[in-house]
Amino acid sequence: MVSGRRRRTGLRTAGFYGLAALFMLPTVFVFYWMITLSVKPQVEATAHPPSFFRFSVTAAGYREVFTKYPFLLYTWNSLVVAAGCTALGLAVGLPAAYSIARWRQRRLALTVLVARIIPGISYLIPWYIFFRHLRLVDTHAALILTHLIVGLPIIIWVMIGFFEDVPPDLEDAALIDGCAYFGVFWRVALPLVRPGVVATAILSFVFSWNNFLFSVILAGRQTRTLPIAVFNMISYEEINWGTLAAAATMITLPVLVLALIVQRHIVTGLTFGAVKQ
Amino acid sequence: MTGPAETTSGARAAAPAVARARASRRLGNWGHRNARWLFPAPAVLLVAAIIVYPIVYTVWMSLQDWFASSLTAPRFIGVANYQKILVGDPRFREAVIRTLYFTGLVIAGETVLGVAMALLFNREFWGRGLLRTLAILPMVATPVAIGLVFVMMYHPTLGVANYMLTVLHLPPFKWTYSSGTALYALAVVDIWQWTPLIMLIALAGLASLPQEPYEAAHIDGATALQAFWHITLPLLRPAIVVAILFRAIDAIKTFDIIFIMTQGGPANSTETINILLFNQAFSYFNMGYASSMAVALFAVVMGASLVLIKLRRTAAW
Amino acid sequence: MSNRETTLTPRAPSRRTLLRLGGAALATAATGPFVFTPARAQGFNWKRFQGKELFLMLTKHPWVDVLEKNIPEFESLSGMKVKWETLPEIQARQKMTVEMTGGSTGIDAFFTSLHVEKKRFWKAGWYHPLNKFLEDPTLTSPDFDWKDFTDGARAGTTQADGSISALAAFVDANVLFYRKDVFAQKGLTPPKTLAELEQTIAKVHAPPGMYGIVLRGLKNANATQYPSVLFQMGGTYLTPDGKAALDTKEGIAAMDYYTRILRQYAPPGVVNFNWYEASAAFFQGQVAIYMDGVNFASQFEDPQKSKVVGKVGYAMLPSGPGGHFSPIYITGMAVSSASRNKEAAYMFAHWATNKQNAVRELLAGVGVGRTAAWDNPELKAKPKMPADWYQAYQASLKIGRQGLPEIVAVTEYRDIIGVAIQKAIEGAPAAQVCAQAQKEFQELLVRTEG
Repeated sequence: MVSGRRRRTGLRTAGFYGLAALFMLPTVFVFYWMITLSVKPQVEATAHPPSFFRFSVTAAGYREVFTKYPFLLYTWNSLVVAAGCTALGLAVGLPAAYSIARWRQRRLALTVLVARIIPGISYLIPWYIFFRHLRLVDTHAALILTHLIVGLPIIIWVMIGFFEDVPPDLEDAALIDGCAYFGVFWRVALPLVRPGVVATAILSFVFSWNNFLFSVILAGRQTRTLPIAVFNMISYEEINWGTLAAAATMITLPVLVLALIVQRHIVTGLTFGAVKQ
Repeated sequence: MTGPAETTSGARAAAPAVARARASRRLGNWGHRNARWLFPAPAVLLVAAIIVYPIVYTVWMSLQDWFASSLTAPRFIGVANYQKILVGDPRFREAVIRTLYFTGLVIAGETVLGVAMALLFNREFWGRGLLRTLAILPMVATPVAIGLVFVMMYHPTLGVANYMLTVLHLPPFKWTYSSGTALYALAVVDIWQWTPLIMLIALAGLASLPQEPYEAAHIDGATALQAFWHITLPLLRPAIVVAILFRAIDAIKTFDIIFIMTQGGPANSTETINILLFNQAFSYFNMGYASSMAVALFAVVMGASLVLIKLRRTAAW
Repeated sequence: MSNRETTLTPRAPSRRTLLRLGGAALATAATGPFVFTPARAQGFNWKRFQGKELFLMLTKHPWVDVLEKNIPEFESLSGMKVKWETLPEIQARQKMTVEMTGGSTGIDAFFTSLHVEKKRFWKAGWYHPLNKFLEDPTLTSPDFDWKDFTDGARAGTTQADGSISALAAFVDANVLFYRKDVFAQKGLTPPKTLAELEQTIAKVHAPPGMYGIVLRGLKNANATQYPSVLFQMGGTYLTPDGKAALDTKEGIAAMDYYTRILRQYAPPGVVNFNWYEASAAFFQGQVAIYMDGVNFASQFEDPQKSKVVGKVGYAMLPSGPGGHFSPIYITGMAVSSASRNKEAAYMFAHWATNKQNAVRELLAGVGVGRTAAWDNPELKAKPKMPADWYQAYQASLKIGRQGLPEIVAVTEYRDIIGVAIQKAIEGAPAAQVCAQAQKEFQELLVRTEG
């Protein structure tokens, strides 16, 4: 009896890992391909039949990425802008989401959504004129403000749902005990919605990190961000595959590390049931 | 927490401190009473400040005829641009249909896969943190780089995609290299890249699900499938619909991968509204017409968003 | 970028110039024309705009790659400070458009792709005419020699109203690339006419290992290669009075030829091939013949990238019943009409396109629009490219003809003809797609020209 159950559990585990592997295969494969492209010599990059495991390795791609472009500067800029816009987004977005959830302020939510709905191209010329008059072109401030358009709506809208799920009795109890709304927000609601906060923080960071359109127009030489570096690998009459793949890999790496660190917080803050007890 | 109940005898000595406490309490009261405006104010004001000028500019420009130039000024033509979009431009109409079709495809794919993956990964297992982080990788990679990698993977004779098909004894596929298949090949790239978004939000949603309904259902003898259908899905619905909402907004406006992989071709078979809009503005320099197209695109996205918002919750909103 | 507009004092040069002119006039009036006055500048002086700062908008391009390396030389020569931003063509144009329409004065000089921008930027008023500068011996170095540029280069940078919009940097000519080894094996020589070309293609076509020919199929991209066939067939874009001429007998014949050879002898998927897929197919050894701009050759001869190093032959495009032409595409350095330092910007532009820099470009394997540079002894001693490349290139420049119509809406035209070509490759009859393209093109002309 016991051995049968153990076998069934064993099969189920195997089945689980098999299914997980199946889902992850496309992801892993494309990234594997990108990484191998970044270390293959150019001639092998477009060779046919493609070489999966046996190929010569060269650091030329990475070397070019680091020497030809101020890659560290770009990374720093991307980091400052993404972190800045996420921090600002959370600071103004979380209270807004709480308020919209609690007092059902549907129209305010729509206003914020509109920012995301407007086609990116419509922003370019007016923003350029706007920021030029404020002398903010080629500054981090301009990029942080404009990247808010992509991050803030999603922070607010996703968090509305989480805040709505906070049981009203908990909040009412806190209010009766003499807490102001801000206290309720800070001490009761926020800890309960931590998974949502983490998820939206990641999303906001990622969207800002990859934003290309606004950065091309509003960034100058000092504030250029990473996606532009990738674009510069494509020139007239030549695609430098190794360098392109190397740049793309380098761009993905910091966010991967960040996500890994942040993931752990999803696990710790999860004890929804315990709080209820 | 109102009223001067705290003042006691010997108050005169402590008057300033009491006054200060009273003032801050009054401020706190005022903050408490007006919380519903104070809380969202920074966000809404910030957003409004940044989008007001672009909205005014775009709407104004859509009523003009202007070739981007430092010499000639825009010429007011009223709603002529809109008339052209609605009745005079078959290319635009086709782009609208194509855009909606593409959006439907990718949303369907991403939702099904995203929710499935979230359900799968919502448990304790070895390697969980790493696996979940890897799963969001596609979303993190720069769309342009991914597009180019896919371009070479899709190459009909040199690409690894067809190579693998031949290994599996399947006929080679045209991918982005034929007007019949290009849109689907692009949909594959989009689904690959954005499924993690749905997965991430669904996972966060699953993590906050309460335990009682499941315990009650288990006591009542429900199967896992019934629990999923009657408890999980309805509770997850708001989160998933929001994820779909954002994905739909972005899918309708998809630009990077189409631009880098097919530029709207072959033969306009992958031309969406946004690609057409970009061309009108930055290739053809028809700023006025492009602005009216931007307004039209906005209307399309807004319409889709309102529909999705209605689906979010049965009761509230 | 934020400091550009605040560190320069725009009035200074004009005040200085006024003083100089005023002093000269006064001196001349007082003492006659033969007395040297200290106030008059003594001819050309590199250091005239010393201390100024310039900002350039450059496009990622092999010509620009070489230029960037030499900019420090200009800085020490002129005492100016030069800053620049290099972006891929489409993004550079986008940024330029946003900045110019946004009223910025930040860009002083820029790299312009005339085959796309010539009339459009002229209509927008973004090119500052260079005629006066060229005629001014105090602004143009004596060895610049405007006449040294090829006829095609000079015509390509001059507008219909005679204003010169840019100084030619890189002139791209289309040539024929072929696999010498494959040809030798079959006892073939490079085809001289379109008819011979088709026969040759058929002879070397041996799928799936070797395809006969590859050309660009992607819409918009294909429009620059299409004239390689169109012109030779006697086709053209516009009638002498400026109307569309795409559906003439010759036009239809050209459309039929271009798409037929691709349909029958090109690798599958060619309908969406941009230059990267097409050239990859060639340098991976899959295709025997390729026709495109000369600069792809540097990839073919690079052992890091190419499997066919040393096996590629270069020849002029085959001629046809309508004549023998090589479509050429010109890029150049232009001065922005919004710049606050136009003369200084011009000084840079004319340095960048002078004889010494032309030689440097050629030594690096990048083509230029000047004639004398080709005969440079250093170049002849250690050429970067095979001899037949230089021969084919030079000869093609002589039969060069502007590859795209010189109209405002060039990009739209490219999309129109591009889609037509794609449809024909996928099987639509040439007459039909030409008729459709003709209709749309004519509509376009009416709407945007005049």
